[in-house]
Amino acid sequence: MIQISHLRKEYASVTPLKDISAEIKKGEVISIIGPSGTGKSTLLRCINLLETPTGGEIVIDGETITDKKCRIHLVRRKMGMVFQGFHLFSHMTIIENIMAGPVDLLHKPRQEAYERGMELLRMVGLADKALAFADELSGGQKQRAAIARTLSMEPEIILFDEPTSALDPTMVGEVLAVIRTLAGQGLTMLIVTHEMKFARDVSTRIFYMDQGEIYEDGTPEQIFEHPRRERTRQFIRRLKVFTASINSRDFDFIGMNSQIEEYGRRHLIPQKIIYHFQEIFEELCVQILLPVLPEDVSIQLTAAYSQEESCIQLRVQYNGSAFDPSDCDNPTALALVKYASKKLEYLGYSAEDGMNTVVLTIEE
Amino acid sequence: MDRIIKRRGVRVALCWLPVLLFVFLTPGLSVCAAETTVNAAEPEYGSLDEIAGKKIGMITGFDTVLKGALDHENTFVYYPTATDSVTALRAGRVDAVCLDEPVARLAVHANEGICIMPDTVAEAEYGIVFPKNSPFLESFNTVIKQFWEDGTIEALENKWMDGDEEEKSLIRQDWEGKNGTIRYYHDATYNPMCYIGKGGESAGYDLDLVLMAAKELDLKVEMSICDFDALVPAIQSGKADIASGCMDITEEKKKYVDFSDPYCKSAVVLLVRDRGVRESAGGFWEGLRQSFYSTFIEENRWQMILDGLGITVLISVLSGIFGLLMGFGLCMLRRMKQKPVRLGAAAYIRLVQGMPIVVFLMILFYIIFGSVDVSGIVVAVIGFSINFSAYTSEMIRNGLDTVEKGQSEAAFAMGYTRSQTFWKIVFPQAAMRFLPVLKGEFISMVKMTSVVGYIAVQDLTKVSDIIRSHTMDAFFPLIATAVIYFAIANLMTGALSYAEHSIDPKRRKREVKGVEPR
Repeated sequence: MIQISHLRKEYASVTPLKDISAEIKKGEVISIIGPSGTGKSTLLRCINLLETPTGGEIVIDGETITDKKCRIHLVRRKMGMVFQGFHLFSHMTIIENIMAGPVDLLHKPRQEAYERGMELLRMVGLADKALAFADELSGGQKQRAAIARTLSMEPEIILFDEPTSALDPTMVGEVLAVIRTLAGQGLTMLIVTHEMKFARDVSTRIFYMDQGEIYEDGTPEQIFEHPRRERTRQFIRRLKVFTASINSRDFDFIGMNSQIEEYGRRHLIPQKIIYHFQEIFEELCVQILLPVLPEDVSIQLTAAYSQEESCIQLRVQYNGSAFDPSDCDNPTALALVKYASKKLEYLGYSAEDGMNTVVLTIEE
Repeated sequence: MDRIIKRRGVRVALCWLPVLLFVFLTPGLSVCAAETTVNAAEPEYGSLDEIAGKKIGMITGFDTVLKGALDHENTFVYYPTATDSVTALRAGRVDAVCLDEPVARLAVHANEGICIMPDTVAEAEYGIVFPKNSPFLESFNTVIKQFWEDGTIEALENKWMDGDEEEKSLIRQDWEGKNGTIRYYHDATYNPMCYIGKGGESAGYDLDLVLMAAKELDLKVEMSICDFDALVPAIQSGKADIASGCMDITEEKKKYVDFSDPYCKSAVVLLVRDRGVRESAGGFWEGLRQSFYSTFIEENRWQMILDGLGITVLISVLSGIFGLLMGFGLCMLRRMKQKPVRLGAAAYIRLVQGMPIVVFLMILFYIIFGSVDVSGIVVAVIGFSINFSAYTSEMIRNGLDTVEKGQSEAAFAMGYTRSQTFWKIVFPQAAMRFLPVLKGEFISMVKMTSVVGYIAVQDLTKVSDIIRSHTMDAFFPLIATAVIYFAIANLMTGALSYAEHSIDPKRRKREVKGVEPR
């Protein structure tokens, strides 16, 4: 149905798509997931040529659309798109929005277009809003109407570009429910989404995109249960990483504390975990380690927060000779560190890079 | 629904309130020539010495003469017509007004509270204006010389300056015109020398003289009315073969045009306020009635006003239509990919927007179309269309820009072509946004057309000027004109609002056209 080979899209300053190749068969429901800014939407917009690719080839139903001679508007008629921002035509009522395509482009009689339109509106639960204007609907209703408009063209392929990202959390469900009913009706669907559970339930295949390429491609089971590659795993487990290093005894202590707070705020990490983190940082790094480390002090902190397990894995590496913090002569500080962490483990001294490693687990 | 209609009625009524206020307040200013008890004139300033250092009003062309006659520094204020300067004198804006004697006499007759200062400023001689090296100059001079000798000039003076109103009409052009036709431009705001007389016919001493001379020379005369200030440009550009309008023969003007020998010897005088006149009898309503009569009824002047109104509406509507179409085209050019095209269109808009419309019209009429025989109305329509297009193109462009990109992307994604997307999706939405602004711009253009008098078109404003110069009643015709402009502007606003509402989908009935709902 869709063959993409060596697709590349670059702008003057960024290259959102480096080298994409994929083959999509009829009836496949593919969710495209991945961190923001990795070209998911750009890929979708290249497939219907809303963005012109810089290189590579896209073939849809035997038609090479990247070819200059291709009459793209004819191809687009069998390939609908649902936008993050809905983009209902604001000068038409909802039913007119839905009738517009069939009447203007497929030259259907108005009556037929109207009846089919009402049928679609009933399907998405908006029959009573037929004569409303877009700005009189809620976000969720707008998106359902937009899906109905896409369906009115009777497409074979539908591209969903983050269909729920602009919605209030309360409205996400109604839109996902509509998309869910479409999956499994033989339509080929590409869905860019951040709704992991939805993607897993509804898709036959998942593209994990990262840094402008399809980093991992597999069944939902494979991607979500047994991701093969490192970045996929991190993404799926939703690890939020924090790194910092201390290279001087006179480092900015208050600044460091507020950086940790900011990290917690950004990733909605429970406040208690952050308190513990700050405490460990103060007692372990400042009270225990700094006094015993050599003049050219070097401490590396790497914290990874997992939302699913609701804990932080903190790795502290420091220079000097082999030193286990449990052996220190500051029992109060040590007690506090132990109190704040679920687990404290000294992994030993590596002669190779001259660093000690301690791993801690911080929970609520 | 009823309430809505009622409220609308109230709104409409409120709109007209200012007009009513206007109409009822203004006659307070308008003191008309009702029966007056005339005492001997007591001029506020009796001699040129007394007027020293005061403000003097005039139409252009008198300043050189005045400077020669006055020893002191005076402030000069320039007015577009003699009537306006007289109005200013009566309103106390200036202390004296400089006029040609025949005009001054008429002004004194028509307005109370002013008189002619006994000291005259200078002798004046009026000449007919010719282009440099005109073939007609010599022959006209011969005829004028003959007129002086055989008493024709004296007869003309009697006929126009003192004579019976009934006799004041031009001689008929009943000669053959074997020697061709001359184009004659004249001012029409200088009663009794050149003005619009009974039934809207041009009349006056100047015109009669030119016709009589033409008869001697067996030339047909094609007459056109033109603003005084534009007479010399009309001659220079070749629009006219001869021109007149009480024009003083001065050395300065001789640099640009030729003058015939003087056909009328007169004086330049100063009009000043007369302290000897008391408030007139008859009162406010009588004054209003008189003014109304002299402005509209007398000599069927309403006919002229109606014609003027027709011209104003014609120019506005045609310019509106052509301007809109051109503006749309310009806007499309500005959206093209090719940079030179875009820059060209932008430069055109800058150029037009940066030029006062009067100047632009005069350049069009006297320079660009200077040697082409084309009606002032056509030039006005061309000028205003160009001017309007520059503004509409920017408005349409802004309107198109406000339609978010998502709308056209959604249409493209459905399979609309570029032009389908533009016409069915983007343009209708843009129209809803630019129409309200466009409406305002159009109405302001309607009012701007009041300057077309500069290119010899008799629109509503020009007609009212002509009537004012004839009746010398300064206020009423102005107010009446303002009310008429207000009325047409409002009617047009109404019509455009209706159009605007009818394309606003939200005001449409909520139904699907051409469909049987089930």
